[in-house]
Amino acid sequence: MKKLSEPMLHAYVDGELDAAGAAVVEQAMREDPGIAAKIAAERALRERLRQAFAPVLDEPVPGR
Amino acid sequence: MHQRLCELLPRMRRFARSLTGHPQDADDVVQTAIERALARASQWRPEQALEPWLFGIVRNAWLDEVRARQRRGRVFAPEEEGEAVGHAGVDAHAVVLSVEAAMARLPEEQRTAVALVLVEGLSYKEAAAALEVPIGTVTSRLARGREALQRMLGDNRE
Repeated sequence: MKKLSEPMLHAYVDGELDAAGAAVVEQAMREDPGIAAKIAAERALRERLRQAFAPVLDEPVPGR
Repeated sequence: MHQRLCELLPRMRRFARSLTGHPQDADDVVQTAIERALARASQWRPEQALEPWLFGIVRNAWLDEVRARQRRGRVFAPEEEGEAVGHAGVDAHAVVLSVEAAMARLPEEQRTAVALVLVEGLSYKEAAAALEVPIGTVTSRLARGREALQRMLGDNRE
């Protein structure tokens, strides 16, 4: 069984793992609430960052 | 190239804002980046992904601006603060910061990795191409950046 590492958790949240790797993380999430909490925290951070900067997309572009 | 630049302009502006932390700096950097992209349009191969190439130009334009300010002896607080707090842990009792303030406190390398991957949604490979570094460099800067942000934004549940 492939060992779970922090880089793997990050890669999972970032959509960078293949199906096998994702399955390992999802299994670990089911078995370990601590891991599930870490994943949730990383997703929350990502969402918070996107929300903070999303308004820039809708700003009128300075006249060019 | 001109048409695609127009389409990507909002994202370039968002990336520049997350990187510079200041609307005017962001607009100046994007202006420079657009001029350089157009000047170098012949260097871009259509099979290359355009976004990493463009984001790399934006980021380098910002680095050039930071260096120019340092040469002029101008105090540039966010970058200096960032360098200082980059490796040591942030005080666990620190006031919870806004996202913008927390990003400003990251060292530029970590802030850029966070901006490219977590805000702009580039893949690790695309971010590595934009920064012209190995993927491992991107992921380690990203890991340090998000760890620091978790501490500063008060999301630490340990």
